[in-house]
Amino acid sequence: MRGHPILRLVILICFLSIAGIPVFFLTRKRPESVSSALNAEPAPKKIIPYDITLTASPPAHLTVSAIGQKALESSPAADSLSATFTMDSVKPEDLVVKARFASSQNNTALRVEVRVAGKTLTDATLWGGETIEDVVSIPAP
Amino acid sequence: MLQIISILIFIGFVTGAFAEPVKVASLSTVLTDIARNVGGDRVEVREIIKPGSDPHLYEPTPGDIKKISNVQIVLASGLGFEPYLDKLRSSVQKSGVTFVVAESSVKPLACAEEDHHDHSHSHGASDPHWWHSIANVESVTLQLRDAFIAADPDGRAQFEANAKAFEAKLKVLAKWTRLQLAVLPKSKRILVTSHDALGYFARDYGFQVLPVQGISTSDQPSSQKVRNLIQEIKALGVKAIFAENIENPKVLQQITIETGANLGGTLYADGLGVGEAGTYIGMMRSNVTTIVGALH
Repeated sequence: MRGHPILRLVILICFLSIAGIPVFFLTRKRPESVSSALNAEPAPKKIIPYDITLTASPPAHLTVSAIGQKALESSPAADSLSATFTMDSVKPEDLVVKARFASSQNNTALRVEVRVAGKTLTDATLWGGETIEDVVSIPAP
Repeated sequence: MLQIISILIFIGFVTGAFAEPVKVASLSTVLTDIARNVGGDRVEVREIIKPGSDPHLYEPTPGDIKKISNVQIVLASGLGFEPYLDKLRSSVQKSGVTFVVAESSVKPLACAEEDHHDHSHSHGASDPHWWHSIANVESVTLQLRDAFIAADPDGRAQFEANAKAFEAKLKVLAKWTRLQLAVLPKSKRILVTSHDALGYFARDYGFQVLPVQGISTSDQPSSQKVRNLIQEIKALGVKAIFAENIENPKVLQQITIETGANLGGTLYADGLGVGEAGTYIGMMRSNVTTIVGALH
């Protein structure tokens, strides 16, 4: 087929452009998956005050630890221990509570109450002997 | 009169002592250990799956089917962990074998949607690695106790005492586990593992699991999935990633190179190992110690 050279050039450019569209879509750099990026974002922290009360029967040497560090301690033996401390409310840390009783006893008890703004989040009673030690998990308020 | 009573007690003792043990075949190393603890010397457990082998890739051989045909009870995990279970059940149906499947007494955990559809062979919609929750093992202990009593009613007192003793050990293990893990801040409770086997452990102790493979060791990750995982590990600042006792840790080593995370040690994900990890309690202690040591 013979025609005007400019017309042939235009047809050739159109043909190459159309052929290039699928190549462009196949080879373009895709943005990162949105869900993956969202998953990778650590949840923002929200620090709030927590009220904790330990009640022992009979009186005991009481300690509260969080992430391996002693946060609270009664000295000497006491029948209760209260304090307020701040923690991330999105993922509150577990507390390790321990009561060491003065003499060897069989029926000892330790009550652990955790409150935020007057609302009870945890109210657990642990039973034991000479020593009571356990982990108290706190739900998000 | 006293002589007659003594003779009866002696006869009872002799018949009890020489009674044929209940023959059991186990398709899970964890169930083998529970059965031995609950059954004591009144139960003879034949291990079909051996410690350190990959149960995801196991298929029963004709020799195994013959062994299974000669027992009274077969122990299986269920929840799709043994894809051959229905076929095996029909193969040994005529020999009157009772199948005790743990799935009927555990609280199942739903698989991640991606894991469930990532692979070709048949799994249920639930994560089959139930033994990573100690509460599930307590339930299965009672299930096995009842199954053994049904097979050997004379052994009731012994099975009940053994189950109670094992439950007490599990309670000590559960408390020890809670206390060990309490040193880890919640932000550090991320388990990057070879395959997605620690879902129950994660649920019980507030971990997030980032597996390379899906629920089964036969699920191969796409390169896109590995790339996303590397990004996620970097973004979350994960300190260590974990290999498994039955896997080739090459892919994990590559990920450690690209992310800067350490190889945190080896976890027993699909069953018991050998040595200290050769019992359920030993395996859990080993896993918890490895996790705390690497992430603390």
